[in-house]
Amino acid sequence: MRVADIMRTNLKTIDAEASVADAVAALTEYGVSALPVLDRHGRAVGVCSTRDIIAAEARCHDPVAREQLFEKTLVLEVMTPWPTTAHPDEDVRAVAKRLLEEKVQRLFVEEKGALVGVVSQTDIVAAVAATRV
Amino acid sequence: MKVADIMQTTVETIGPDDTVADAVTTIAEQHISGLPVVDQRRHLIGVISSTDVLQLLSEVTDPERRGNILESTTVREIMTAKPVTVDPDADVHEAARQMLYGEIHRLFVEFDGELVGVVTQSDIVGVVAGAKL
Repeated sequence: MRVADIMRTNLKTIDAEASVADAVAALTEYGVSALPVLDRHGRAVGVCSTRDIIAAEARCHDPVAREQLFEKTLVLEVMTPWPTTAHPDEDVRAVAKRLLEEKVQRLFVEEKGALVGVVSQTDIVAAVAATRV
Repeated sequence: MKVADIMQTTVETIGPDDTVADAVTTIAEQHISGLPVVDQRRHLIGVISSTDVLQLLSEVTDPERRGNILESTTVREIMTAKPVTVDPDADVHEAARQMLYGEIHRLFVEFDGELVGVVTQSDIVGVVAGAKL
């Protein structure tokens, strides 16, 4: 089974210069655990995940710092730099191994430099549930 | 393959009367996405996830209140009560189906009413990576 068979293609994204408050709103509204971060030229420069935001929250030790994080901090400052990606033709078992080795919930899928989808641990669990792997 | 073969038996927990700020610290330190909430007899009564925390943050718009919200909210107030559990003897495919239909990243494993482990999406991805199904 290949990545293309299980990946999702309707990606939601966020601007690098959006605020953390915008990212929290987007993550909860879309019901996703991470968003690719795009610069002003539309290039993927990072990933902003619930994990990144929880980690940033955990570093704030008082209400003032927490509010600063929300309103004054840009996604650019809390995101994880653009990670390694998967290819649509990659084998699902190989991607499963990479997800665990790289300790990530998902890999974005790129083809010829373009962002074409995302494959997550949930997609692999779905394949197991359907007894496809 | 059974849940007992792949579950983790060391499980970080939190109490219902601890604050959400405490939960955020543990979630960030342990690099996990959710914590089981147990009473004094180690009976599972809920789960608090990073998504629950983000949901709380997204619902508070008053800046002053938002700075304090994690300290002034108890785990009990935002946890999901009665989380989905699985039997240690359940088949891994069945666990995958339960995760998928429940839209959850982890299942708690109970035996005789006591929390004995947790099986996460990563544990199932690990089975695929090792092709042990």
